[in-house]
Amino acid sequence: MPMIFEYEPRNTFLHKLNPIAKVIMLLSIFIVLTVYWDPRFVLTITLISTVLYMVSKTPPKWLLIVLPVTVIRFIESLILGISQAQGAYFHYLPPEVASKVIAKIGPITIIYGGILWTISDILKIVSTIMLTFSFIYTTSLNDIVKMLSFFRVPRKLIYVFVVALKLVPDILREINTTMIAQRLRGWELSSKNPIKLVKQAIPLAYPFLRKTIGYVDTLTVMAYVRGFGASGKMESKWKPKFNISDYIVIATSFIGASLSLYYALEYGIGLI
Amino acid sequence: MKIVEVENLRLSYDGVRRVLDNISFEVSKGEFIVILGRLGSGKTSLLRVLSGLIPHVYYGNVEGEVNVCGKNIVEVGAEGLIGCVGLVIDDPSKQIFNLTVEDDVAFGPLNMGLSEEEVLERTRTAIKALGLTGLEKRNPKELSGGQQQRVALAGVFALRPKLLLLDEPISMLDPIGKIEVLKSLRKLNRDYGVSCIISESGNDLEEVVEIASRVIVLDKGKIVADGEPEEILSKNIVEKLGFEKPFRIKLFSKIRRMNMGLEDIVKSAIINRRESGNVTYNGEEILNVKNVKYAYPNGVLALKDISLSVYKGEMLGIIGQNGSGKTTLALVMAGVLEPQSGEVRVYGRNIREYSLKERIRLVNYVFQNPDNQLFSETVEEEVAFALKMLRYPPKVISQKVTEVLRIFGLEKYRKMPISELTKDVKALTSLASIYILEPKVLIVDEPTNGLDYSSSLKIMSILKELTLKDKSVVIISHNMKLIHRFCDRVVVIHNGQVLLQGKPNEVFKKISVLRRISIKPPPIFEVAYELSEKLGIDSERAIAALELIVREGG
Repeated sequence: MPMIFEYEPRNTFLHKLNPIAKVIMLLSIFIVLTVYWDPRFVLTITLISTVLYMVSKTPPKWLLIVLPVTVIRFIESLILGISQAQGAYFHYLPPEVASKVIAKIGPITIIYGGILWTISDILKIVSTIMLTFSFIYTTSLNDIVKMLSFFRVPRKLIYVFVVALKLVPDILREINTTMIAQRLRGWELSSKNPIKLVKQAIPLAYPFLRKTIGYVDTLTVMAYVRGFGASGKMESKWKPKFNISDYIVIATSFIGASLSLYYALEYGIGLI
Repeated sequence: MKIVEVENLRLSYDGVRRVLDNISFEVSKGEFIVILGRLGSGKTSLLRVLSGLIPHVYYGNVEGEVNVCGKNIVEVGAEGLIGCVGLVIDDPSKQIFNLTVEDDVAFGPLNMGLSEEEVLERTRTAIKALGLTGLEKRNPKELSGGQQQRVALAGVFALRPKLLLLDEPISMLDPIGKIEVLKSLRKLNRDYGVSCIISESGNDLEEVVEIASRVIVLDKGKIVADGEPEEILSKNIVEKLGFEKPFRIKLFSKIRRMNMGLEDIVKSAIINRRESGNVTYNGEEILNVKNVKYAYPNGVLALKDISLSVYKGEMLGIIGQNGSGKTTLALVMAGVLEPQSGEVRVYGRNIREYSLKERIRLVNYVFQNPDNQLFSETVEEEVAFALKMLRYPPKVISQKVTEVLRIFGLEKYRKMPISELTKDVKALTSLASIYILEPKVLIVDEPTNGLDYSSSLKIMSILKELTLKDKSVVIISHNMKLIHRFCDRVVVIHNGQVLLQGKPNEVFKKISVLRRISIKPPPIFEVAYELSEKLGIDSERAIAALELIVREGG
């Protein structure tokens, strides 16, 4: 069973896609996502991301695991959205729509433009997470190495990336084992007081940290002796092979992103 | 042609204490060398120097001349030795990066920036050489320990090294894994001419030495013996350093001294046979596993209808291949995992009905890796932790800690920081930190893993002593010699079921059954089996005769 943030060899459309085509597709979506602020347009991208997530068969559990962190980001978006209390902040929405007051809570005025911004921001976060997870789940470490080398990313940077990708799932496995080991010594997280909880978590944190350091050390050395030591001296001779679906994805992504950018920047479509 | 030339190598980490002292040796093409030494003798440091990791990746002050493939390691480092030296460590999971076998084997050549064709060719050759054909698309994590280690070996072999450095590569494997890996190493050595240097702490000496052409014994950083395996291992120095001589070498040296044929000696020994006293337990059942089934969330059925008992004051050995369900069974016995059907009863009550705090004082489990448990600053704090969690008064804690430290021989380490402990002391500390709860049944997973032979004996002896205090100890281990020597009963688990159980002699003499599931019994049983077949005598009598010969000289 793959752990969270771990590639799993499968036979889905995204798995079969050339990593370069996949990166071009994702980059195109990310660029459009950065530009668009109209919730209707962002929602469309979220739907595309959801389809990709489902097509790639990335486990839905991954989303549940990151939910607590995501909720914090949602709250942050909400605060930022609410704080945009002036219609003048919005250049493309008609001023009377942007500044329409939806609610007043004490000194805080919530306007329509701010709410639209919040919705878009939350949708963007969700889309980004889903696309990133789909990429990790469908792209093997070797494909990532080949692709990054092809794009002439410095080998030290590739090295950090590869070690990090290998590390996360393995560390999660270790946390589980350490938790069982400490429970067998009477350790329990049993308090509603956050300070006490942190104090109680120390037995878990310390062996975990020590193991992580040792693990990273071994991992680094093992990667090093398998060629990662040859930093910056070797050029990639990998020649990517594209099939028809790769060309279609690359062309669609390129055309889609170009058109979206053109209409957004020229006519303000998708902006608020 | 010399692959390695080492002259007056001296290594120190702190500039004061020499970890390696005046080491000189050469390795020719095609040699298979075992570096035999206890924990801390300098084996790993030597391999790190030869691989160029010291002084380039790990700090170390290297003096003397070390040339590998004609290159000075201090000048070129590990980077300059890629394609010349390959390093394999004990834990395959730390060496495998990718999620398919072929991806992982291709990882090294890819990093070397080779062309797609060259990467593919090297990957195919390595997969074939290591007998991994058919497993190319499999996730290495789903493979057995032996297969994983072969994947790691293939990944290194794909770099086309002239020298393989192997740091206890079979110490963490199950019996079949050990056989598989050693067979592969022999093939790489004989068919591809790869020189091999393998470090060994003594627990797998019997197996490793069978394929070696030379043994170098290292003690406190110095070479104390160097020569052909039979010559070195028949010397007394091996036993003086705390290693057990391989059974066959011991047997043949006795026979040579007796100046008689093996068959005649066995026959005469049978006549002089003495009944050895069997260890008995008083029969009170503490823990009962009844018709337990356990399946993991992914649907894999780990335990299929297992039933067994643990009796008061006995030492029970659980053996089986990796993935046979041993650890799952242990976690079910300790109440950590809840079986889907069947139950574990302790003193007649379902273990899950006890609270966690009651449960851990009835049945407890010591993990294979002490690092999962140890977290305090000092040994004393570590051992006291569980009692603090149970809110014992400080005075009682102090008394109990003193007593437990004495039992485990840890008094002199009392104030020592955990981070400074050696592997064996760490293992003892982790045992002590659970034993302080005085569980009636103590389940210990691979207590001797990664330890040398004398440390393993020490730990097993301490655990055995606990049984004299009416504690029951359950040992999960791949070390058949230790299981045979210390356990009162043995349970063989295969495919989530109990295949055999009984006294060690009863279980280990069923060679054909054990061979079918690739369990290698202690060598005495194998020799006895061969003899009984040849002489037409009962295998148990042959075992007793061989024991007598080895112990008393016939």
